[in-house]
Amino acid sequence: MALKRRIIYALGALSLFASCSSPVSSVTVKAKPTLYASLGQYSYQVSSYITPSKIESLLNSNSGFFVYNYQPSSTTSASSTSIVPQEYLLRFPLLSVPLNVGASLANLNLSNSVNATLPAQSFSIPSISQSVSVTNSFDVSAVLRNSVNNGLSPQSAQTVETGLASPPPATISLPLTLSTFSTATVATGSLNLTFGPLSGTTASYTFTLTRISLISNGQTLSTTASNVNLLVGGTANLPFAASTTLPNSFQVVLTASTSGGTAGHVDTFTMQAALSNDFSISSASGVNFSTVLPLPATTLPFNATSNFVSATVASGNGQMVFSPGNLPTAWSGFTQNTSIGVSQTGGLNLNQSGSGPLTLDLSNQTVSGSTISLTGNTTINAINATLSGLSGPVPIANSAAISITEFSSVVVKVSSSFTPSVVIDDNLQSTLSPQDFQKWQWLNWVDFTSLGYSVSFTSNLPAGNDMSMTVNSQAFGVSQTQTIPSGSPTNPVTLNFLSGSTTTPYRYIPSHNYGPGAWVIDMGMSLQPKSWNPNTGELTLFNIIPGTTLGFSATITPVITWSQANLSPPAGGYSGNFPASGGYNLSVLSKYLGTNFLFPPIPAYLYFSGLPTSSINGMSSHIQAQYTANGILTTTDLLGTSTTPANVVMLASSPTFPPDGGTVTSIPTPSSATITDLSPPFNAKPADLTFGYSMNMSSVTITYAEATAPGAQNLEADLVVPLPMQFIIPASGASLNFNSGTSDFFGRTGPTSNTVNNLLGQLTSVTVSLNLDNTTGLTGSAVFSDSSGFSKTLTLATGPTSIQFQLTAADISHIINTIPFAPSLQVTLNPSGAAETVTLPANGISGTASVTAVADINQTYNF
Amino acid sequence: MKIFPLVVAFFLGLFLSSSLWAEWPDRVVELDVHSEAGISNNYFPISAFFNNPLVVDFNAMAQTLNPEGFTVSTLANSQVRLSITPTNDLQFGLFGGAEIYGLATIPEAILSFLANGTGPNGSTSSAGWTPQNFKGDVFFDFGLNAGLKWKKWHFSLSPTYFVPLLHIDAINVSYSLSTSSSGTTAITQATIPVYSVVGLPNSTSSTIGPPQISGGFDLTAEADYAFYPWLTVGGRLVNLPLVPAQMTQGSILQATETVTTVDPSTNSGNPFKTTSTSSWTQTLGTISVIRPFEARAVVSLYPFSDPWLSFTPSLGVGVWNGVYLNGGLKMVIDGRHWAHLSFNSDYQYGLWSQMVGLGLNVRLFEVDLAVGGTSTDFVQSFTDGVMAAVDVKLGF
Repeated sequence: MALKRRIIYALGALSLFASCSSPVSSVTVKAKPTLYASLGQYSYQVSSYITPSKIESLLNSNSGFFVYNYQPSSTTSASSTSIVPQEYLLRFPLLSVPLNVGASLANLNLSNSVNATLPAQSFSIPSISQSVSVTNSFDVSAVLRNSVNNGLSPQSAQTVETGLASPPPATISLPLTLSTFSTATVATGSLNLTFGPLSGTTASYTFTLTRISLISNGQTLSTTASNVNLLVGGTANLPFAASTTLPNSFQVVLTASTSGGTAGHVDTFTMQAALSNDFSISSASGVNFSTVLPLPATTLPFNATSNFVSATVASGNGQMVFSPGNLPTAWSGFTQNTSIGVSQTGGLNLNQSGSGPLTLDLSNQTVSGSTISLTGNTTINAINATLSGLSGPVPIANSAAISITEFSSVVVKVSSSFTPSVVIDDNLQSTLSPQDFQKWQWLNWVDFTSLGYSVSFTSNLPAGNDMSMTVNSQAFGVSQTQTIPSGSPTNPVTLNFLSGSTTTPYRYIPSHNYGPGAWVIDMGMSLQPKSWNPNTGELTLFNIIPGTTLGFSATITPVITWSQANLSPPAGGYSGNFPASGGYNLSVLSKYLGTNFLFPPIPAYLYFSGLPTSSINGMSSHIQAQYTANGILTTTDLLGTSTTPANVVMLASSPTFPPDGGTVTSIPTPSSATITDLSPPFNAKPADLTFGYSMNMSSVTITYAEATAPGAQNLEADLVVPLPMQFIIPASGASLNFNSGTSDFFGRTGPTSNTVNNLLGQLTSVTVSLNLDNTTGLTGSAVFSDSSGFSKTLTLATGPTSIQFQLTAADISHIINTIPFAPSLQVTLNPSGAAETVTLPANGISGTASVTAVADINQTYNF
Repeated sequence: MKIFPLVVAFFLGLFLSSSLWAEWPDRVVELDVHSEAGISNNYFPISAFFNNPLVVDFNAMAQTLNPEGFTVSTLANSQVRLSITPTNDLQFGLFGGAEIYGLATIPEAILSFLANGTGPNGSTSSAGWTPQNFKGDVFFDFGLNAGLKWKKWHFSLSPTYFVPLLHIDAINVSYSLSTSSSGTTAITQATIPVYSVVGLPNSTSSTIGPPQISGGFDLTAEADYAFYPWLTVGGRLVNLPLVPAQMTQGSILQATETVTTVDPSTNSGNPFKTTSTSSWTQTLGTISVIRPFEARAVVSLYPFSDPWLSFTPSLGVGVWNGVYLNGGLKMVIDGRHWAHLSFNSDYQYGLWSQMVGLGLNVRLFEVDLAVGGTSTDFVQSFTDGVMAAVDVKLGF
């Protein structure tokens, strides 16, 4: 035992040793590497940071002005530096008066207004031509059974008491006669007998039926045992075997056991016979009855479209035929008489009766869109009739057919927007914007060689549906009525309602009062169908074939052909503001350029073009800037004054500019002297800069050819402003703000973006090295900071330079815990020194960036 | 309750009685099961693997392991041998087993990168693996052995048929890291030809083919001459190749990985852009494979002209994807064959090993245990790595 114990102790000690020396289960990795990583090359191009679209977006993208990159072939800047500034060209289209007065007239879209009242109409006329089966069921057995039972009445019978205790069985024979038939062959069923209680019995008398039989001429038709106690009455059922020939007269023989009573005493009881409900026959003879069979409810639906109201059947073009079904040919002695009715809500309502086929004439009857209903019945009379072969109810296959081949008239409902008569008075003063109306005011008169409307009418209405159309326009000199024929093989039919001619033009004076008032263009159009109910919106069409689709449409187009027009600015001169509403918000420049920036003098150029220079006999214009500076509405004359406008000339050809955002390499020769300085409103950085303008000139008559020549469709005035990226930085300095937005600088999307965080977490310091090539000429300091306290300051110098800044462990912790980390860069320029002019070239700042990170890795991994 | 002491007493009696013949030099019939395994590294002491956590300090490793790098090697073999010794002068038998050789090195340049980082802009570092510091072989062998004593000579001969199961041929792996203004880039390229008795995937087929066995022959021979009772001089050839084995199924594992630092804001927040490829791209032809072999001169000194104490220095050359100077010194204290204690310091194929062995022989069976350390560094081989061997012999 001791040895064994020692062995166990030794094994236990060995296990304990083994457990104390368990293999490694975790690993700690330590390292302190210094990592250098280049972040690559980068470039902040002024031309990409400030783009034409961004300028438009900043100032007012909805005002209709244009911004181009301006890259003149030689520097126009007065700066003595060799830096070529990034420059933009702003074009403000102050005025654009269309010279093609015909196009302006067409743009009023009067015809569209009329067309909207005459939408295309389409009517589907339903087809009414169909047949239906109307089958009713003739149950002869049921008719015969009911007739027999109705003819049976209770019978009274007597029995005489014997007074004996055990007399012989008593027999009572009762005659029974059935009406309606002579003989019948029974298929199924029985005769039910109901016995009333004996009356007047004496005490101790008993009377119990023991058997009941039906006997005819000595033959037993049916028999059955019974135990009906007639002292209380009861029922008995005598079934007929199949094929039993049942006469209409036979004996009901009752056998009874009796006892007691008073000898010779007479008692009475009643017996009522009836054929059972399942009684049926297979044949019969000598049948006599009359029965009425109702027709099943039948409808004649047809596809009446929603615009179909009603129609009248043309004479001789509609009928309904009802054909009664036949009874079995082996039968004899039967006659049929049919009565039918055809009805329809708001339409047909006809009745007719008789034997054989019935024909209902629908001539001149009104058919509505409702379902057609067919009702009626068939009366069948049997006189000594013979029938055979019955195995159940007999179907009688009736049929009905309706057919309409032409309507003399059809009432349809047109669409709700259909207005056959419309009068439009277009008052240019109220329907046009003030700016557009001011352009109309340039128009003194127009000579039209053809003015009015052309109507294209398409229709497939049959003959008998002629319409007429009337067009009236006092302004256009038109008042005509024309007939639109129906059933015409030519489609569409074109009708012209015109005034003027080549030899005798019609002169239209927009400001003249032609009746409705000055500046009003009147337009009346009326379409007169043959039958039209404006109260219900229903149109009556004639001579219509069912099943067809009919319709018509009218399209009105203006006919405007002019030969010459006379133009002049409105009385008192032409003036306005650009933009017409709102203004340019230059205050946003402070957000990016700071508040201390000033623009050097900014020139501007004015252009007038579009009218033939030979027709112009002197022009003058006045341009001014209007803005609010320091809460005061300020007006600065840019060209001329309100009392002494500057002389301007009409350019022979319009200056050409590329599409918005394109590049312009030179400024065309302007119409006036150069506007010397636009910088005051720019430096005031107002939120509401507008340009006011006015011009005067004598009237000009232009021909159609002159107005529609390439490049001369509009009388235009443009203000063009070259804007170099040059700024005057005062002695107190200025700042530029570059906001990186709200996105994380490291691209992290949330706290789960651990890849970067894990790496950052192992860092003890990070040194960022920037090798810059600053070609902007901007000097000063740059602060890299965010809103939660992170801040790094750099010194910005011109030309190639190296900058380093270090991120401490605290900075790294801040970056890790700030998501998104979205620092902004604020460049403070010329923080101390004299005022200077700086120029931003197109290429801006470029360079390389690198990071040297010192890591202290101490990470434990558990297995 | 009474059986256990009886069983113990029976075996003690049997062993004690059989041990009376322990001094007889050889068993007539002997079944020998020998297993040996070792794994070494040149940095972590064996005790480190029994402490939590295991601290991997790259800075310390880079400083300590300069310039040889961090090496891990493994050696294992297992063999079953049946020997018959009909007379004291003649022995023959047969054996079979398997062997694993493996060695891998992390170059110092990589350790230095992990420890110290990339260096400033313009820095470059590179490293490569050679067939000498990254290799691996697995063999199966089967052979006969015969021994003969004649006068003062002793000869033994073991022709062996071996089959290479896995062979990693001359590899070409390189790594480079450079920093520049365009980014810090680390590029690793590896071309590792691998042969196997079973088919490996290649560029046109990923199916594993049937084993293709074409073994080779080599010879292990030993001869010594007892000049004096205190001096025996001899030599041995281990795995001398006679006919190399053929391996016909091999593929090259080609892999490249390039990691470049980039602006994280342009790479979804990730400051590293990685491109990597890894594929078995080429089917290799047939190569000849031999087992690592060595030739050693061996001198055994018996200071007391008696086997109870011996010193055996040896020196020779070894070949295993390169030529090595192999050598060692072994001391054995033999207690009349009943028990023996051995100390063996050896240097083979670039690895130092220090082993302490203890044997117990009761004639019916003999157990020899040996444990020790191993490393590419002589001093660290006393403390680092681990080797163990178990040899159990049964017979009489």
